[in-house]
Formats: sequence, C-alpha cells, structure tokens
Amino acid sequence: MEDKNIDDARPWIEGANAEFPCTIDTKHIVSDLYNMFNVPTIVWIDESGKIVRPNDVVVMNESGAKLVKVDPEEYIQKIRNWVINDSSPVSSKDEFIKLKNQRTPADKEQLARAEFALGQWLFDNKEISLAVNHFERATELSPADIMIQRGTMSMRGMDPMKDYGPIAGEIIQKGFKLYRPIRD
Amino acid sequence: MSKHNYTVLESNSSQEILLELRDNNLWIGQDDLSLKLNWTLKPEGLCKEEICVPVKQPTLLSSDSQINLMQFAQELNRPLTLELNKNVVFLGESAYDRSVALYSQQAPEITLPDLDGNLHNLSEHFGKKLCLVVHASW
Repeated sequence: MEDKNIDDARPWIEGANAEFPCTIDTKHIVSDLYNMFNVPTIVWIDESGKIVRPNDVVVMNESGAKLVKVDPEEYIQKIRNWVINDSSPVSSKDEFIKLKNQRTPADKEQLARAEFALGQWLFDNKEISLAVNHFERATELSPADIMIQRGTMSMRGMDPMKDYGPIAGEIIQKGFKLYRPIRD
Repeated sequence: MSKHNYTVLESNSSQEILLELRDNNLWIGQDDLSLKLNWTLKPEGLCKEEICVPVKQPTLLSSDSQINLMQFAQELNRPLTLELNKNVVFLGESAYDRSVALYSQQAPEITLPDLDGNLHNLSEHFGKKLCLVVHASW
C-alpha cells in the first residue's frame, strides 16, 4: 500500500487478512521505481524476476471497471491461466508493445515525483504549508499523476473520496486519462 | 557565503551534508560528493562505480574543490527540488535511469516494512510467478 503513513494503510491490510506479505510504502518509492500513476496497479513478474506484463490498472467495482475498460473477473481468470497453465501474459505482440511503451517516465513526471517526495518529507516534519506548496507544484508538473493528485489530497485539507470527483473531471477535461500513463 | 548542514534526501535515504549557498547556488565539497553521494568528478567526467558521464558544462560544475549541486543534477538529468527555508533538498532519479531499468525488464528490487515493521524484499519471492499489486487507502 502506498500511503502517507502506516495508520492509513492499517485497516485495509488488516481487513484483507491476506496470506501474502503486505507492505507499506510511505516514501512513494514503488510508484517512482515502476512508473505508476494510479492505484490499483498490477505488475506480473515471472520466476526469474522478469516483468512479463507491465503496469495494468484493474478496478474491481463496476463503475471503475467501465472507466478502465478492463473486466476484473476476466483479468483474474487471465492471472489464473498464467499461473496454472503457463499461458502467455499478453494476448498479442501489439498488446505487449503497448504495455511496454507505458513504461517510460518523462522528465517532468520525475520532477513532479521529486516535488512530491520533498513535500512528503516536509509534511512528515510538520511543515504543512511548505509541504502543500510542493504538492501543488507536483500536481502542476504532472496533472495526470493520480498517485500525487489523490495521494496528497488528505495532506492538502481535502477528502480523497468526497472531493475527488471535480478534480478527476478537470483532469479528464484537460485531455488526460485517469488510469493510463500519459503516452499510449 | 554561508555553509550549513542540509538534509539531502534521495529515493530511500536521508543524509546531513554541509552545503554552501552562494549566489543562489548550492555547493557541495568534492569529497562529500564522493563519500556521501557516490559520484566523483574525474577527467573522464562524473563517475559512479564503473559508469562515467562526460560533463557538458565543466566551468559551471566545479569551482576550487566544490561542485555546484544544481549543475551536478542537471548534468545527470536528475530532478532536484529544494526548500531553502528548511535546508532540505531532494535529489531524484532521472527519467532515463528509470526507463533503462524498466526496459531491462528485470523487476526493480523493493524493500519495505509490513505492519509489524519487518522488512520484505521483492526478490525473496523470485522462483515463483508473482503479481505485484500497488494500492492505497484512497
């Protein structure tokens, strides 16, 4: 879970009661390393540690599933086929290329992540208004980075559930997609 | 001329380094650049382990035995953000470095704590098929 502190993540991890390890990333290291822009993002890794299917965003609820255009049940079945039957992680060469092209971050996106990380440190050290300056700067640099937009809302005095709608609307109006990196 | 301890942050580290703020630029001692940030200025360029990057603007980069931290970041195309009010700097990873790592297709190592504070490495689980799922409370 990538959250600003462990307490935010705790109820979700405890509620899931998963058999697999659940860790907390409060410094936003993973979204930087793997070029992730929203949650939930799923990466398939084979036995040798190779990424065989890069960043997918798959949402379980109906409205979210319509937005990302991925049927969650079909997706889970694909995972099962891969694990049990060793089926190919991607259905076609085109799909692989498209997924692979999602991987490249741009300079501005990395700068936004640096503003985000600095803001997080300031927030953790109780410098709230200074933190907010950097969060705002980060959202200007990378408007479609929802990790940053939505991830900083609770630190900017907003409710990431109730207040997200208008922000999401603005981002879509600017021509960005909520669930895919900038370049298709 | 004012030398102060700055908190220099990188992706997963935090160090106190003596920096000098001079004409709106931050300067780091060459020794500190090597010892603390693992980069050394050599005739071949800026070097880290076996990699050397030729310097594009050497006169802007170094002066006496100090390195201009902003210029250093620019030479490596690394994002640098700062909050001078709190003497803190964040030095991020370049888009190029992140891209190269991902194009290699080798899943970058992740080391993170669970709720009990125990650290887990992604690589501990290699040997079977994995789904890395990143989520958030929001």
